[in-house]
Amino acid sequence: MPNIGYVALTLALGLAVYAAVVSVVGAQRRLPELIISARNAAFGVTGLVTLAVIIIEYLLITGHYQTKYVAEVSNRAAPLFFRITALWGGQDGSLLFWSWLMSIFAALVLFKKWGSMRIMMPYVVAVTQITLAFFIGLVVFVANPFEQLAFFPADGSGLNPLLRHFGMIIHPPILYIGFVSFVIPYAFAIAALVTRQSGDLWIRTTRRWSLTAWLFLSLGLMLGGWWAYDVLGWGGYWGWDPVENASLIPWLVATPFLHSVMMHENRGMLKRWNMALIILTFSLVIEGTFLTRSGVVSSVHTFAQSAIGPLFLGFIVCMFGVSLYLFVTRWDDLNSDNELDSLVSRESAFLLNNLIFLGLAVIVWWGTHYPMFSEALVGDRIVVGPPFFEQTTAPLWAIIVLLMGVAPLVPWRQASLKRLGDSLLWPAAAGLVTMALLYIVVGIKIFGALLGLGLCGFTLAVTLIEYWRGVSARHRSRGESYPVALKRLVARNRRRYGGYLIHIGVILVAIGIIGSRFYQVETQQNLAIGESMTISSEFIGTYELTYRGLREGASPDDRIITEGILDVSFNGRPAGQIIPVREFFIVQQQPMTIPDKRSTLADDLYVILGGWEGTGETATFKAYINPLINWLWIGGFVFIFGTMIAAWPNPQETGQRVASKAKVRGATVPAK
Amino acid sequence: MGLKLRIVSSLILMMIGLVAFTGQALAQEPDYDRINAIAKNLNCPTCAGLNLADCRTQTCAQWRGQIGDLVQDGYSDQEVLDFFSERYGEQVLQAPPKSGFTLLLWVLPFIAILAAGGWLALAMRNWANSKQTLATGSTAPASPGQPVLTSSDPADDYLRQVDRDLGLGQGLDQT
Repeated sequence: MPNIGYVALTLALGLAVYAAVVSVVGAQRRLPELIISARNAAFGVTGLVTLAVIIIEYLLITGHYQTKYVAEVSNRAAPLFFRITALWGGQDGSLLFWSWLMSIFAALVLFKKWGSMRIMMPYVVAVTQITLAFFIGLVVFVANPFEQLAFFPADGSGLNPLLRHFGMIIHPPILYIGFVSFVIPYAFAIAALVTRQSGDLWIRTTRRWSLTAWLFLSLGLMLGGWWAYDVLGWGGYWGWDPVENASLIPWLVATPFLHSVMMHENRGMLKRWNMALIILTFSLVIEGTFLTRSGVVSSVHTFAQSAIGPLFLGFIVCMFGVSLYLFVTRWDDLNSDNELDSLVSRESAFLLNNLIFLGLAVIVWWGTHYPMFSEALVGDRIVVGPPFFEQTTAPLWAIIVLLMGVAPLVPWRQASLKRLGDSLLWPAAAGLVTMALLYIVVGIKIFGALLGLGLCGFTLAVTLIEYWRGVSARHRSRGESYPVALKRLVARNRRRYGGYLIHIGVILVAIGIIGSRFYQVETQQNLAIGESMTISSEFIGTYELTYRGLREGASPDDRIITEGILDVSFNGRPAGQIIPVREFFIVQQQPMTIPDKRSTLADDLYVILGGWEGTGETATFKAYINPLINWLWIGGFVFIFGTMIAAWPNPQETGQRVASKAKVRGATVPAK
Repeated sequence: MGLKLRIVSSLILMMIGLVAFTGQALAQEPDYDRINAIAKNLNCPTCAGLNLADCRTQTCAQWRGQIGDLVQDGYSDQEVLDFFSERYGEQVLQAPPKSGFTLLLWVLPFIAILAAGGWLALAMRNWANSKQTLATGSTAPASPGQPVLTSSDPADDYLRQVDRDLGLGQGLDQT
């Protein structure tokens, strides 16, 4: 059985290489049958990789522990769900999983765009299949999940305890989908370069792909944060760990890309720049994968060190080199159709947005890679921790929030400063009033927090006014009721108003971050049974926690669960119980500290069980108050919702497509 | 010696203040909050990235215990950090020092951003100027093919502007 899987992968590798070569030859020599053959080969690759995935899943589910990978990530005690998801629980399997996702996307784009994109398609096939061949090659030669052990182990060692959480189960696939699907816009960009298509066809074709990729990347980042907060028990959600950064950096480049493609579509500007951005995004995706899997930087996430590093580096260099060569040789094809009309214009705002986002990307990239450079150049292996990233990026995040407020008010081409000033008046007032109220009434005295929240107020006001102007314009000119007007306004301009919804999501996320970063309170106490500890925040109130003892939780075979029971009272009133948990995984000899929370819109009370003496006569608890943190997750939902609105297929478009398909099928299909 | 005495006496004073303030006998118990506050500035020696206060491994618990001992001995926060960085090197510090070779870490990205910003500003100015010299004499304010605003209702103008921003090119009529 495992041999079949391995053979399928080897064939897939051969077929992917064949598809890449034949599609280019076919396009150069204009031999349509070769191009068709390449397409079929690409479908074949998808089929073969799928077969390999089915086989490894079969081995995981049936517990074939002679297969080394199965023994590493699964065991008899594992429930079916974790056996299935163990596919991405280790290096070898997750590379296979990654290849599988990529092969699906490659097939999907062929399926959907084959008819309409005849000229670019051969090169799209070539780019996707070369990338795919690299990853399948890694699986076949370096990280073979079908490798057999020389003996028959009775049981496997089981999935890493950290990964046994719903958030961690769906976080990798979501993030992988985000990463992998950027191959599609990248492939189209390269195809446009090769075929010298200077128009915005590649951007329009891949707009929804880019947005979807970005959606999954954002969702993946958010899920990672949620998992960290929910499981790791250090009171935070983002630790600026190299692997977290590796997924943030492509996001920081893809975000300005999504903005500046509008300059290309609307004004025929920034063609080179957009090309460069998408090449950079995908290169960073691959580089981030390299960073995660090669062990060049140490991180809690790193997979075991392996021979993968040099191969990856080679691939990145080749990929980047070829892209750069194409880019430079096509430089003159990508001249701008329009000049910049004025320094005060939407165009300028977008350029500034690009500058700031790329600045953030540069900082995060540099901080993440610095330990490597430092070690190589002066021999110091220093650790670059959260203080660096927070101090250096904070001002740029603030500028982003400000720009998010100003840019929507600046028209394309040329803005009159007076009109801009007029439309900024109310939002600016809203921002200032927010700051004044927070300072006087709430008592927010830290300048950074005050400024940040003021900017959030300003930008929120701008965005809501934009909605209001659109809705009230429809209401007045068409007599539509407000809810109907809102619905139609958004439906007709989904990209714009979906985008604004994303902005609102970002503001809510920012509020959550500001509250929890500036005003987190923590305390740690050792309590005997019956003793209490208090934790208070001047903005939230005072919690009193009374220790009632330990109890053993319902423990599955593979771990011991110990629960600490605390009675909670909030501002003197009883507020239920809070039960933080210590799980001890017997096989791995690894403890996990699972926090318990009391969540409200104002704050989270977040408690972990640090340790105990004897049978729990005394126990140590660490408690946090995280103000406003739930706005982070709410903002995340709004953000995702907004992205879905912006990316949703146009009903008119789909309608037309269905209609034309019905026509093609002819009279045999009766009309509904 | 005098310094140490002063530290100890000020610490005692502080302790008394704290005890009076919270009404708890902190003397027998290590002051976890202070230990954590100090540990926040140090790295966990085994698991990369996490700080010492948040890490739940055995090693980190021992290190925190050591901080507790030093605090009990009258070390100030900074002295504890110095103790650790002398013993284990600067890589134990969460925030890398802003001096020597490591200064590059802090400064280089900002030099890059400023350079890019400066270049962008110049490029934009040239871009805008070249346009103006080309466009002088041209009277058409909007590009051809775009509808000129005719309606007197500012609300309609707004919706048209939205459409034009989106590059839809259609008027209001289509729903």
